[in-house]
Amino acid sequence: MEQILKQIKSVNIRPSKNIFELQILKGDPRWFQILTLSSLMLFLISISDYAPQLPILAVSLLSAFLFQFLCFSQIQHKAGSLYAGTPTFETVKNGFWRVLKKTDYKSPAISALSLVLLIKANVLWIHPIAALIAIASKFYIRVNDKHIFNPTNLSIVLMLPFFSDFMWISPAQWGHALWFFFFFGSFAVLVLYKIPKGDISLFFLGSYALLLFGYAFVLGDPLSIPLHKLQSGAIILFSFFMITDPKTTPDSRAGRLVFAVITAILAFVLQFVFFVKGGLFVALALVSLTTPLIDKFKPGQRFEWSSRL
Amino acid sequence: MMKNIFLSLALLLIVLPMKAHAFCGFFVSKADASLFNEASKVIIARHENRTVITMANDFQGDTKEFAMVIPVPTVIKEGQVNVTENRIIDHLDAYTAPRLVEYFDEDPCRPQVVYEMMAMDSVRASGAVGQAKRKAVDLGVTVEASYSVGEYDIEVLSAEQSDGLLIYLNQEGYKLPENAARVLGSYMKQGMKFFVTKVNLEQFEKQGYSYLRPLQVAFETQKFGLPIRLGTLNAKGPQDLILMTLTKKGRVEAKNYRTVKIPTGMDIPIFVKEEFGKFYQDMFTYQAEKENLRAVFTEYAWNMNWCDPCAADPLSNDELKTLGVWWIGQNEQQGDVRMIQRAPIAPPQAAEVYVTRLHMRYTGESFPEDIALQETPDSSNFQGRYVLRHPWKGVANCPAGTQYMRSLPARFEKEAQNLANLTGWQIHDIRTKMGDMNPENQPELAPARPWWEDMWDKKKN
Repeated sequence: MEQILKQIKSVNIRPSKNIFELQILKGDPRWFQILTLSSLMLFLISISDYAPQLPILAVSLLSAFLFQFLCFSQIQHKAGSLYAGTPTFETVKNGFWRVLKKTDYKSPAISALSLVLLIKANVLWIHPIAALIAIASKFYIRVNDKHIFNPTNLSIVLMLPFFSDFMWISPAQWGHALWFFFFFGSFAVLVLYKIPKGDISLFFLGSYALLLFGYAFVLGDPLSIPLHKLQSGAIILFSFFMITDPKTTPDSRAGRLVFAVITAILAFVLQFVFFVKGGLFVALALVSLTTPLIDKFKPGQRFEWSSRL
Repeated sequence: MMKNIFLSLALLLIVLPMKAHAFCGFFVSKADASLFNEASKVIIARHENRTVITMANDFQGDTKEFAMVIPVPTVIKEGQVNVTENRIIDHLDAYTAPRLVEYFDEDPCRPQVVYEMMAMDSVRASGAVGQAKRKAVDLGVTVEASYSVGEYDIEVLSAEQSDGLLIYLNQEGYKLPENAARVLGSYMKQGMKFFVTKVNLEQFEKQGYSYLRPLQVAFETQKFGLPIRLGTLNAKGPQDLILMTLTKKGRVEAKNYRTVKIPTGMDIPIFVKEEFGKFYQDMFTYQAEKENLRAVFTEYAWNMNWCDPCAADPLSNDELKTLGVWWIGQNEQQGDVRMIQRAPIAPPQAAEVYVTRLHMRYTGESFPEDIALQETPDSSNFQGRYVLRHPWKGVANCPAGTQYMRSLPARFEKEAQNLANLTGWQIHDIRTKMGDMNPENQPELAPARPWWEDMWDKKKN
């Protein structure tokens, strides 16, 4: 919160030729992602009958922060930097305190918000489990120091088959106006911030749209049908907040294009040929497995957020 | 041939107005008839992939002109088709209909005893129907099956070419519009078959029913949904669909359209009792238009085991089974010796049937693609329910009574506001209609005594 305030205070208000000179826009794009997701959440809570409930939102955020802190502490401990020398109450306490301050809370916030927006549940414990899977996968399922799966995506794919008595996904709950708001908001973040590897959003949306329009052409359907299929909140969240995850996508642009196209094809086939529940998410999880391979053939520059993890 | 021939694509649920000049669209509103009388009424029972669709048939015209085309995922065999009776559908309709609840205020000077009486006015909806004449000509279309069930003659068709199918159907007397070819072609390319039916007059007369009975089709499919596209082709205005689903776990919602709840639970003026039908139609129209006809409204979602208040008796197990709830009573077969020998029997459970009533009003533009549905594990209860509170009319000579009387004008005003917000009716008209409860015409009451006056007995000092 303090950081946000600092950043807001530091917004440069002298007349500038270029909007990009605004300080806040040079900051970590994840702040803006959090802002987009939170305002979407507020909208949903205020207009929707089947909106995310506040207790679910609260437990999701808290558990995501907690798991992030615990996993980060464990990693630090393993690296021997939690405390030095023999553990005493004092050194361990100070060690944890240092970790607590060093922990990144932006990425678990994005995961938690995405989970609440995507997963509906009739019990409170679903979202903490989802958060646990998401955060743990980020720390422990890694190849070449990159995590393989987008945290939110993996947790949806793993949970849907086993907890379908308690959770479901409502991709159409947003309505038209909100969809456009979200689409343009996300698109703005992508462009203004030049989100690293953000090109993959457009590669995916483009190829997925192409498939839908192509299928409509084959069937002789009017354009309104593929357009309507694209107007799903889940697709936007997926394209701008999941598949873009710079830590899990290929490092080279060509690699990302290949990755996006394969994901789009698989998502299309799973959803419209095999009617797989959550086909979009399953597709991304499967294709994510190929990232190390794609990186091997088409290496590129590795991305790091300004603060690690 | 220029008769008013049209056809209802039931799974598709539509009435396709044919070329006939007399027909002015599916959604014809008669001056005195409720709009919902033009609605299609469909029941889907589904668990796992087993799906049973029941289509109400409120066809009013000459039975020999009735014809219906239903796109289905597989070839439907004779055993998969059944006809049932209207009363079961009417029963479920009444059971799930939005309801009006009446409360009578007790004498405010006596301890409150709450009791309630329920008045219910089922909002009626009727099935889509159509009619056609038919000649037998084969045109590259495969007749996969052909049989009669009850008063219906049925053919299941598959085709290689949408043009051929269209010509065949037209030669059979369906007179589909030109733009139907595209939609038929789309279903065809998705591997769907066409379930075509007309009335066998001889059988119809033999059965002795005065109406065409609801047609039921059972099949297995991974796709849970309702094709509506053919029905929107030539519709002149929005059309209504009331879909009731029977599932095992919980509420059903649309996957590709926004599902909302119909506003519920509000106190409204008691004159609405006299015109509940009109109130509900106006309210639905107002709410649907607020959503730009893009929403699916939940009107009822409840476990079938109980209701509160009950708009009608719950359906019996036999009725539920007839509607396709095949999983009911699965654990009640201990009497069947062979069953016991075959497998250990799970402990008997309460019937797990959850009913959802969805009401949608749409056009081809607002609902461009078929409705995809999903069952959610959400088994919380919801009902469209509107409350009338009759004020106490007797004498109320006590401090509580005075307070009660003072609270009434604000309460009447709130009821008037609620009604205006729900229906878009003019607030002034509402107040006028409220008669002696018109919040603007309440008798002047003596100004309230300051709250401290009753606290200390000043005369004593």
